[in-house]
Amino acid sequence: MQIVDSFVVKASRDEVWKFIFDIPRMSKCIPGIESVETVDENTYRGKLVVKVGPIRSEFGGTVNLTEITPPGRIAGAVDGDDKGSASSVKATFSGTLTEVEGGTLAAFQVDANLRGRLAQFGGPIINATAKKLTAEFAKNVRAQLEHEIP
Amino acid sequence: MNMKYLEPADFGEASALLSEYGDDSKVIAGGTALVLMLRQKFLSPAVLVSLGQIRAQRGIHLDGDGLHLGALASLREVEQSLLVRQYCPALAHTYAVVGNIRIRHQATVGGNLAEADYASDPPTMLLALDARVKVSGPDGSREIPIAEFFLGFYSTVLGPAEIVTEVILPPLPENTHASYQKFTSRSAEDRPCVVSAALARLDADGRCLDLRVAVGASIETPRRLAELEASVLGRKLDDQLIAAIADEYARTLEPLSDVRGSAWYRREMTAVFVRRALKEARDGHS
Repeated sequence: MQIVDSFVVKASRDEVWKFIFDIPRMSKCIPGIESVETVDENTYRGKLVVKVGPIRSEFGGTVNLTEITPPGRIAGAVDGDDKGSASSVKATFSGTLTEVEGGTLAAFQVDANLRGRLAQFGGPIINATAKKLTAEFAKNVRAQLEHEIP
Repeated sequence: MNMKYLEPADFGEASALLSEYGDDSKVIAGGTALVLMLRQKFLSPAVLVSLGQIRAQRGIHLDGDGLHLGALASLREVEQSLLVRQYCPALAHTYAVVGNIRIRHQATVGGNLAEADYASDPPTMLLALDARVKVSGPDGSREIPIAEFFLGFYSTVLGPAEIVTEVILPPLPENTHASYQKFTSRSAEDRPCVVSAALARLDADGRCLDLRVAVGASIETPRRLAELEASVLGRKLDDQLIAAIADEYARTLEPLSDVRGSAWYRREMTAVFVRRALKEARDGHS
């Protein structure tokens, strides 16, 4: 399953780049995030609660960054599971920051493989959920970064 | 699984319990959807608020403002109701093709809407009939046009402690005919791949006085194309116009892909089933 999305932030590319690696601040913008800890400079462990309609799943897992090319590109892998529904997710992702008029375009692509009972909900529902989470994340990031422009 | 099972006597008490327990509670009516989610451990609420002991809203009755389906009526009761069949035979048919007879005996009118599964029959027909959903909650009751009720997959405008109490169907003028077409791609009792509901009121020359077409199950929430519906008023509902409307629905709606069919296939089937629904609604006139 592939998720492709993007959003524009009214801030310079350097600001956005710096923000991404300010883990405590950035993680606060992720909807449903419960905790994040830094394992080493390329590895993070976290817990994320995702709600789809009445269903609430709690994924715990690690994010491993395999490529960090300042100030415009990162890539990595996610490995997580939700014990309640006996489901697991493995994903690779890449993200780019591009300077555009009026700000920075943050674009990303995720190739995810969901297994277990949650997988029966299928691509369309998971895609719609991802879109919703991205929109919320983008809103939160804008609130963080755009306020700071004098 | 250790769960408290509460059985309030009326909707007010049920809403109060849902407010009290918040996210730890879930409301259960027929349970055909919820029990599956519980068994798969998608949900593990501490409290289940059952509507099983509530006496109100179990029946179907006619009132000045239309036909009222109680939220706690079973799908089977709607399917068999003489009032429903007199009001709109296609509506009875819609409820008659949901799942299988065991499901229909157990599942309720309100539960079906509150679950908001996209692969469902009644919502699309109810949309074509301009149904209103009456809900009650801690702040009293309100009516929501069904077009505004569904927000997305498994998601509605219902507040956390709000419960569907009834569905109200406005009266249909004489000479209105409707059709409900369900397409299942895997087995007869499967959830739908594409559904289409059409309603037509024609004058003596076969020209459209009212025309409504709703499509569902192939998209996130059922939809009608209001502008297209309005644009055909006054025109003769011949095969050519029917084909044009069907093609426009197929072209405009963005179907999803899942185990019941790809987006491409669903687009093709949308044209087929909108056409069939419109023909059946029209030919009710001859």
